[in-house]
Amino acid sequence: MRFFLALILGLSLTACGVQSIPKSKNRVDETFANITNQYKRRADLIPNLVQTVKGYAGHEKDTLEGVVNARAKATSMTIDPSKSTPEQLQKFQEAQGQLSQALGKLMVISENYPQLKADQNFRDLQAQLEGTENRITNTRREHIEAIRQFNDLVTVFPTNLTNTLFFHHDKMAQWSVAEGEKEQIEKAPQVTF
Amino acid sequence: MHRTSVGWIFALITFAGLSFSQAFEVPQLTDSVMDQAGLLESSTQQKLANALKVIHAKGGPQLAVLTVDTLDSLTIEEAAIQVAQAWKLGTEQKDNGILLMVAKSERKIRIEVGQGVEGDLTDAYSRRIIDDVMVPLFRKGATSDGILLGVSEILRRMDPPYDLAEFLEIPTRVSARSGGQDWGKLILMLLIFLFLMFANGGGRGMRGSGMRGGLSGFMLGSLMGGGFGGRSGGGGGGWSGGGGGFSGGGASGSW
Repeated sequence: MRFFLALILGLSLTACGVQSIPKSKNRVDETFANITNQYKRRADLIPNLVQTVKGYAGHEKDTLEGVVNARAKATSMTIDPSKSTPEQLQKFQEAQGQLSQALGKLMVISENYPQLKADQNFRDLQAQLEGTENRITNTRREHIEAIRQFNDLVTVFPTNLTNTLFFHHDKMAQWSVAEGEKEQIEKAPQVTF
Repeated sequence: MHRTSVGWIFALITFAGLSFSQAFEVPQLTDSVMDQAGLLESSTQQKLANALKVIHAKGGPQLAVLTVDTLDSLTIEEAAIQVAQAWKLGTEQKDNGILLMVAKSERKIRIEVGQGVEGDLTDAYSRRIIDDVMVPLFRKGATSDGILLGVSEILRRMDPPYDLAEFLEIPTRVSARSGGQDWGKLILMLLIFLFLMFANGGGRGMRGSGMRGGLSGFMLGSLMGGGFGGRSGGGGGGWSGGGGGFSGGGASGSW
């Protein structure tokens, strides 16, 4: 009995992870929610963008439809990070990655339409979209950092002992770039004259 | 012979390591306008720096201008968020920090907008300010005017809006005083301090030392109050970030 009291006192006084492990888990959830929040904002911007591009470049049907379909697929998937399996998470990331790709294509073809590029509405939407993509990059970075901190707490002594005693959390899979986006990153940019 | 060659190899390795490990470093925040690339005229820089401090002191946004020579292979987005998050511009409650960053050799401009003012200064407005106001002037080489007008447009978007021109003309103790006097006072302070210290330590006993201590404290205090309080202008105290948050809002452009 006395031993147990001493143990509890000891645990509560040292940096043992009783507080930091759940806090760090909450931080991971928070950063993930931030990412989905930005994805949502991006999806909200797309209908307007597609309408504007249609006005100047209506015959670029394939690219426009590609964006619309990718958006529909991405928005149909909602995800709860605390309950989802790694497979679900991967599918979610893939869908968002495909949307990124489709949007990238749309932005490339828009370069061919000077009138579209000069349209104030298009410029504003483009700026908003770029801002959103930039926020996605930032929140992802924060999420990756949060996962790293959580994994450190769960795997490194002495907090890993607290985890095995009380929380039984597994190490989290690190966020990785979806396959579609990976291709986009690794492919060398094509330069044509 | 052998030893010297080893020494040379070490020197070379160290040198190579130094030159390759050079990366973009976030500068220390010392003033509201930090013109490292020399894109501002010096009179403009002083006026602008003071105006920005006054505006922040009146409850407006904490706006900082940073120009750098190079980004060292970072994108301007990456560099700007690093700077903004390190400086923590804006107050913790309002998150009303804004960073206007210019990279000279990359010819890039970015407006990084704090979370609390993203609603007033949207990404689209930031982009318009860069593309429509700043870039045309930058292309003509009028970087000083470009930055000034850019800042003025940013402030007009605030809620309530601020008219930069009004604040630029505020006569300041800072601009009236030359930097040399500050140095002079610093040296004088040091001399008095040293003199009194030695006088106290000269073995003349305890008598009078309390009075001298008080006197030196008074003199130091008055000098510091007069000499260095003015440095911050209307800003009240030093110039540092207040804990504002950034999440990547804003826009970038190039000239």
